[in-house]
Amino acid sequence: MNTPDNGGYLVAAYSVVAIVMVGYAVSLWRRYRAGK
Amino acid sequence: MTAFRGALAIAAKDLRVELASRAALNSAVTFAVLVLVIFNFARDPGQVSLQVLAPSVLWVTSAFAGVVALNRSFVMEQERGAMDGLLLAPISRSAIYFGKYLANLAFVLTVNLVLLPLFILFFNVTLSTGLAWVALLLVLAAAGYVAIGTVLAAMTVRTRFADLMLPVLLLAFLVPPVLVGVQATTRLLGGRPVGEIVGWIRFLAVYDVVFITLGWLLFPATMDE
Amino acid sequence: MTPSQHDTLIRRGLWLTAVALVGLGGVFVQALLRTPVERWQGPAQKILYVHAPAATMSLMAFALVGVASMGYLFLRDSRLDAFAEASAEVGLAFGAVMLTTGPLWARPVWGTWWQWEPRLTLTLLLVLLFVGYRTMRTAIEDPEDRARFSAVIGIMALVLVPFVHLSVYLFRTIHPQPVVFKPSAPSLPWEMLRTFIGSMVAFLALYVGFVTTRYGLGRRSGAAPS
Repeated sequence: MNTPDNGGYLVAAYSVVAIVMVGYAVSLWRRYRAGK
Repeated sequence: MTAFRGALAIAAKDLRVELASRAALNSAVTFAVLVLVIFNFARDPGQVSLQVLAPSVLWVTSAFAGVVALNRSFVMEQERGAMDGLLLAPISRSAIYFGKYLANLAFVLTVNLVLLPLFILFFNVTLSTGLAWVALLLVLAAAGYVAIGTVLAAMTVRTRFADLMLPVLLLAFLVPPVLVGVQATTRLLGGRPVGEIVGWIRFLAVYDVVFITLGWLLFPATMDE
Repeated sequence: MTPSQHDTLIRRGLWLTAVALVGLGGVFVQALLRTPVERWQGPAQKILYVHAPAATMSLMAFALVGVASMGYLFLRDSRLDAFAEASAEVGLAFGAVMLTTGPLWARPVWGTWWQWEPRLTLTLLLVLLFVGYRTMRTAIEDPEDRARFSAVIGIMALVLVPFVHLSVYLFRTIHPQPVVFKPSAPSLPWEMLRTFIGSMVAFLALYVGFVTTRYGLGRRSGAAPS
């Protein structure tokens, strides 16, 4: 059986992880700056 | 007065007030009937038989109607500012909890009492001992989630979106009893003996004991100190 | 704590978060470029390296909210409430990752987007609960009422966990699904295991960084004169 060609899902998933984790970190940073 | 009599006094007061206006009861019963009727039409009769759908419809309707009934629970006190009076009375917080719990349970069971005959009617259910056990399961499940709902209602009534908050918070707690209830009901209505569902009954019983106790322990924290 | 001490805490949290994010980048490189592709599942199997740790952190975050809630009701220390608030929010962030990466893994590998299996269902319900938790917090002004009510929900959520897990487990064993959703294979070869462990560490560091920062932010806004 050939290895399935499902890399698209992989890219989508890792993109989601990056966006959410970095996005949350940035929102925390913004809240820090806003409260100074 | 002793805690027990205090609880009964509060339950009686709530029930008396509700019977006078019947606002909560009417809306919950109307809602239950509507849902039941809609489910009947929300299927392709050729594809999905009534028997297959029946247990799920029963439990979903029962749970939703129960939530509608619970929503009214503390609104009354809030609207008339009677909460302070309640707290100043020589009644322990535990008594208030059990009083509210009993009144709420009575509401919810009354709604179910109206719901069940209609369910039998619309879904062509055969009268059998299995059906009697189903009724018992509905009572058991309600005993559990009404305890949780009583505590949640005491808090959400203080928020702006009370009517929305209670269902959102309560939903997660409804999953175990509804899931178990539907499983057991499918077997009972399918003619299986009670012995097969004893495990489910035990699950509901443990759920009840745990959450009624937890509700009793946590309720005081929902009242002003 | 004085306001500047809060700021210091927030800054420390942000630094740790930055370091953890770099670590996460390293995990991405390791997983995508330096870990062998699983022969039967294909590249999509690598999603597990980020899905499973996110799931673990999410559930752990919510469990800690429950513990902190119990602590608050006993000790009435507002720092426990601040921690609960922080952990709940961070738990939602990881929960969002879990609930999106899960279906993205399941669809290509097992042919179905969703499975009503214990861990996924539990996370979904907890996410719903804690969204409600947050909404309720914004709707209550008095800080002590807010802390007490949040604690009640936090504890009830914790107690709910075994019931959901058991009922969904029973649901599945009685209706065996053709698909079994197992985020971690029974025995991983070393090249995969080390990536997995590294990812766990990175996500744990992210949790600590996020919570520290969020806790500091919560304490700072709580201490500010209104």
